Order: sequence, then C-alpha cells, then structure tokens
Amino acid sequence: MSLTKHPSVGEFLAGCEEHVNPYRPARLALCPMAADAEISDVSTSDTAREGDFVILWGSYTQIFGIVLKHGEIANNRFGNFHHDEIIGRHFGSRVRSRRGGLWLALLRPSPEFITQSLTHRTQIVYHADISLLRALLDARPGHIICEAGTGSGSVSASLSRALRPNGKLYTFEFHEERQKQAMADFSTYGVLDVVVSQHRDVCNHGFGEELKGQVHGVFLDLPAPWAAVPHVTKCLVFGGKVVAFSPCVEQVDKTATELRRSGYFDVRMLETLATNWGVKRQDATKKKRRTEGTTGTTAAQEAEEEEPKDVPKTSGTGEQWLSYQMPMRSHTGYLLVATRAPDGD
Amino acid sequence: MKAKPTLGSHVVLRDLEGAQKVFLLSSGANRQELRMGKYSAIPLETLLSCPYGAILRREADGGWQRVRHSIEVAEETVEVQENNQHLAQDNSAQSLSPSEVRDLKQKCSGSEVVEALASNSATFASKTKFAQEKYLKKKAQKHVQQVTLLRPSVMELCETYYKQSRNKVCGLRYDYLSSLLCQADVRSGARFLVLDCAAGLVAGAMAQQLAGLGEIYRLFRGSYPEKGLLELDLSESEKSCVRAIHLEALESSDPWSSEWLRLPEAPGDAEGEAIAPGRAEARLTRITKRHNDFKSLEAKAVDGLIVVAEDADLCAEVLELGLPRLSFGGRVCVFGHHLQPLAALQGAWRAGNFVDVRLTQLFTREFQALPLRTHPFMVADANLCEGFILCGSKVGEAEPQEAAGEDSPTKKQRRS
Repeated sequence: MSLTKHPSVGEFLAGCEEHVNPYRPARLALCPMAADAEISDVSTSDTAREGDFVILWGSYTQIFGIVLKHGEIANNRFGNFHHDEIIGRHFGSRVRSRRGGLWLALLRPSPEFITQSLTHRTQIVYHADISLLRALLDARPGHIICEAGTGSGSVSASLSRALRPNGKLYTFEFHEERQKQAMADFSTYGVLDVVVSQHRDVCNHGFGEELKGQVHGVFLDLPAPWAAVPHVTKCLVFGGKVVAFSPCVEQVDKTATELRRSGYFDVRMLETLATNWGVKRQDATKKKRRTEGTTGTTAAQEAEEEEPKDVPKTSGTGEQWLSYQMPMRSHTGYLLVATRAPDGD
Repeated sequence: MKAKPTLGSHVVLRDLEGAQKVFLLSSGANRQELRMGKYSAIPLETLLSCPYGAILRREADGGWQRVRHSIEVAEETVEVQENNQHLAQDNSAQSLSPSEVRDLKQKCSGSEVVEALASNSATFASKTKFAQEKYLKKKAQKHVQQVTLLRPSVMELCETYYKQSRNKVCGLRYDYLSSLLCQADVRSGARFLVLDCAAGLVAGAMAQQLAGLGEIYRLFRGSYPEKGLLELDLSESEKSCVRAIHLEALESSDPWSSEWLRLPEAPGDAEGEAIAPGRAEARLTRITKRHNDFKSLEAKAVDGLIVVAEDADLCAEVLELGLPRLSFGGRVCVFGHHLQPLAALQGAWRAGNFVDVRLTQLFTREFQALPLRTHPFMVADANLCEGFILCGSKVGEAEPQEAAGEDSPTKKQRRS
C-alpha cells in the first residue's frame, strides 16, 4: 500500500474555500433543515480564530484543549506556545513553541479529543463505552436524551455531537460545584445549543415535569441506578431505551431486576474494552542475530522474536512494521440496556 | 420517533431463538410475505396495528395475537441447594410420547404445549426455580411461535445483518460501526468520503447523523449495495446527503471523459433514435447529477475518510485516492480484519503527516444478567474481538527546516 504525496499547505488553501466547524453552533441552530441546505450557511473559516476552543496535540497522552486569546501563552511540557502565533493558522498545522524545536498539532476539538484532554473531576467514561452507549441509546439528530450524572462531561460532549442538529441533551449532576464547572466547560466547547445542564439529584427529584413522556433515551452513570428507574419511566417514551453504566455486577443485577419489574424488555448486559496495538519499525538491514546468550531466553527464542515470519514488508522500503499489544484498561464498567415496553403492555 | 410501523416502512422481526429478519411492509404487487423461518405468515394488518416493541404470538386457531411482555424471571431469596446428583439422564422423565406431542401441537397453542410438557415431566417439579425457568424457555423456543417487532435502527439492522451473515456487513459489528462514526468525527454539516462495502449501512448511519446537512461521497466500483440505506427508513432530506461517486472518475487523469461522467450523444444521432426520448432524458438527468456530485467533491477537501472493505487492494486504492482529498486536521478511519496491512499503514502514517494514529480492537461481550446467575454468555464460536480500526488525523507537511532534521521532538512525541 503506497500513499501519494499530500498537497502542500499552499496548494490546499488555494483550492479550498470555507470550511465547516460544528463547534460554532449558534449559526447551525438557525439553519433550516432543508435537504439542499447550502453548506456555506453553517461553515466558518478553516482556520483557528480568536475565541475558538481548539486542541493542541503533543503525544498520545499529552492533548490540550485551549481557548485562543490574543496575548496569551499556552505553557506545557513541549514549551511556550503564543496564542497569537496559533490564531489564523489552519487546522492540521504544526505550531511551534517560540524557542523552536518542539511542535504541536493544531486540531479541531472532536469529542474524542475532549475526552482525552478534559480535567477529571470524576472517573470518566472512555471511548469504547461512549461509542457503544451511543449506539444502544440510538442517539441521533432530533432526539431528546437525558444523562445523569454529568460528571466531567465526557459522555455529554459525545452525545451533543450525536444529537445535533435539533436534538437536546438534558444532563443532571447532583454535585453543585461539579455542575457549575461542567456548565462552564459546555460553554467553552460551544455545545450549549444542544446541552442543557442542571443541578439536580434525579434519584430523589426525578427529571422534571417538562420532560414527562418526552425523552427518547436515558443514560445513567450513578452509584444506584436502580433508584432512578421509576423517574426514568416517567420521562421515557414508549419503546425508549435506558442505558446504565456500572462497574459492579451487583449494581447491574439490582438495576436489571428493577427494570424488569417496571415493564422493560430486552434487558441486556454488555462489556466492551479497547485493545490498542502499537507498531515499531524494524530495519531489515540492521537486523542481525545476537550471539551472546542472555539469561532467561534462549538464542532460538530470541531469533524468533526478532524475525517474525508473518509480518509483510511495506512496498518499496526495506522496513518491517512489528505490531505489539499495548497495555489496556482491564475493566471499566458494564453497560446495561433495556427498552421500555410499548403502549398497551 | 413514530410509535408504529407504517405501510412502506421497514420492521425487524425477532423470533424466540433470537433470529432476526427485516421486512418491508408493503401492500402492493411486490408485497413480501411476513414469514419468519418455519412460522406461519403474519397478516400485514396485524403487524400494522402494533407498536414497535410489541410481541405477536400464534394462537391455537392459527391467528396471530398481540401478547403482553411478561416478567419471566425467577427470583429466589434462599440460596439454591438442589443439584443434579440424583437426576436420571435416560430420557425417561417425559411421559408424553413424541406422537402425543405432535397431536397436542395440532390442537393447542404453543404455550399450552409447553405447559403440558412441563406437567408431564417427572423431574420438572423437583427442579429449582432457576432450572424450571430455563426448561420452560427452551421448550418455548421449540414450540411457541412468537415474534417481537423492532424498530429498524442502525443498531438493530447491524445486528440483524451480522447474525444473518457476517460477510454481508464485512464483519462490521455494531460496536465497531458506532466507534467508526465517532473516531471519524461524523457530524452534521461536514463532508465525508466513504467506501462502504457493508451493505450501505455505514453510509446510511452517516446520513442519519448528518440529518440533511453536509455531504457523504460514497465511492464504489461495480456494485453499489443499498440495503442498509433503504432499510433504515431515512427521510428524503437524510438520503439527499449521500452521493455516489464511481472510483473510475477519481482515478482518471481526465475524469470528464470517463464513461461514468460522459454526456450522452446529442439526440437525433443514430444511437439516440434507438432509445425512447424519455429514457434519453432520464439518462441526461442522471449524468448531470453525477457531474454536480463530482464537481462538489472536487471543489473542497473532505473532513473525514472512512473505509470499510474486505478487499485489501480496493482499500489501498481508496486510501491512495482519498487521503490527498482529506483536509488538514481531517480524520481517517479504516476498518479491516487483518492486522498486518493496517500495521504497515499505521507505521507509515506515524512516520508521515499524521498524528493521533491509533490501531484499536474492541473486545465486546454480552452477559446473561439474572439474579444469582450473572455470567458471560457461553458461546463456542464467539468473535469477541472482530477486526481492527485504524484512525488518525492528517496534519500539514513539516516546514523545510524541519524536514532538514531539526524535528527532534518527533521521536519523543511519537512514543505512545
């Protein structure tokens, strides 16, 4: 598989007009849901601008979300990055620190990057679970979804993308200070056209009168999700889905029993984990068998490790790519999903 | 979200054994008989009168009736002590002979047959509540004809196709599909290039997410499977985002003369006379639409590129054509079943102009969640991990002085 040369920045910019930035939702909300809606109605510039929330990507564990402001400097382990030198650059640029040397990639703030860059005020839900719960909830534009609790807002950011345009995410947090911080984050992310954040304990006070019978899906990330089930039933439409995320089997068990008693069907319990694979280059010319025996492994074993027979060479070059499994989270939580019985059952 | 299926829409039916099938509810000439496996056909009117989620059961008189969902889960507070120490495994427990069961099935409903089987079993009463529940469930699977109506959502269709045949959807399981949509940052208002060999389900799910805003350029060569696109019951506005682009047009140095984009000969030509004027007009409209679609693709870079294909060559070809059309900062996501070609790409991308290059496998398994009996389902041939997703963000070229070797952080930065 060979890759063609990418166009240069100049070539690219010359052939490209305005671009779409979904994190500028105010204009999107005004845009009609017409089949032939012109994309330019919702587009903004392809470059990072003053006031934009952007991602600076340094490495797989060093991902920063910042709001660009004239005169400010982002300091991190890669150096000092002057916002004025980032403002006006197009997304996908490499931005450099003043002292030179290190660069960061300027990227759009997708919910995946937000999850990896946000401040952890609580345990957060990660990508594999988020993408699965989004499928289980059938979250899509125009739908209304409830979330409790908000936590650090990792799930909320992803659901807001799934529900836009015309959908709404009502997210509830019983910890007052955390709710305020989450609210400020949502404002930064520019998702307040879709997200409504409230301070409320849903297990005791429910989801509110105005949502009665209006909600298409409910996501519960609570210590005692079973206690919220009666309130979920009040706000969920017939045939709507409820998903609970819990780390313990006992929590799932109690919630499943409560859901079945309350007339839910298709109660399913799932676990999903992400296995990540790394890759390293092995130069065919440098490859030589070590003769000195090392303690613990025999020379034969080592030879096998060095020369896997099933790794194909990449075209043209004399290099091989060797895959290896990276450490992974061994457990996050279980997802329990159930469907509210239809009208008349 | 409508509560009931309507004429012209699709519905997924699931039987007691878990088999699922999609049906088009149509009364026209090409009406599809609503028949699941060996079950008798379900009258269309009965189906149309039920909401999604309803259960229909075949009664003794042969008719299909809606039944309520029942809570069929045994709960036992005392610890289970009984075991199978004294259980005779000589098939002598059932006093009804096979022919008697056959007769019963002629006269009674499925649930009555199950009741008769249980009451004529010498061991049933001595079983624990848990074991009784399992027994009844197994017998019901065999003798009761029952279906559940399900909404044709992305998740439901993906599971249905996957259960019917993994090849139909390139082995793309629902968790992978959803992860692809997230990793490629599929969002309303953006532009995407996609190679979808998974029955059109990927393009369909993307169209649902775009909700009429943005574009999906769906590449194809030869066949253009639309099953998923059709069965999702998308609105006209959602469907309008999906534009077919023949690979031939992209790879040609002179796309406008490619067969796919070539304008028909002027009417009145020798060839033109042979075709009815109406058809010539339809062809012109079709080609004009292709022209517009192709122009709109080439006018601007795309925000995301998604590739789901079994064929490695096709996958490589699409990446070669698609990556130059991907905007800087844009996401690329490839789904595949083989580690090696993806690992080679991963290595090349990381050494080139991509960041956040990740190769991920999803391990997903389902559990039986029942009181005191919660454990993973025991399946002999499960694929807990089903393929790989490779994704990354495209970045601009390093500046000339960086290319000269000053780019010292790369080594440190690229360590994961």
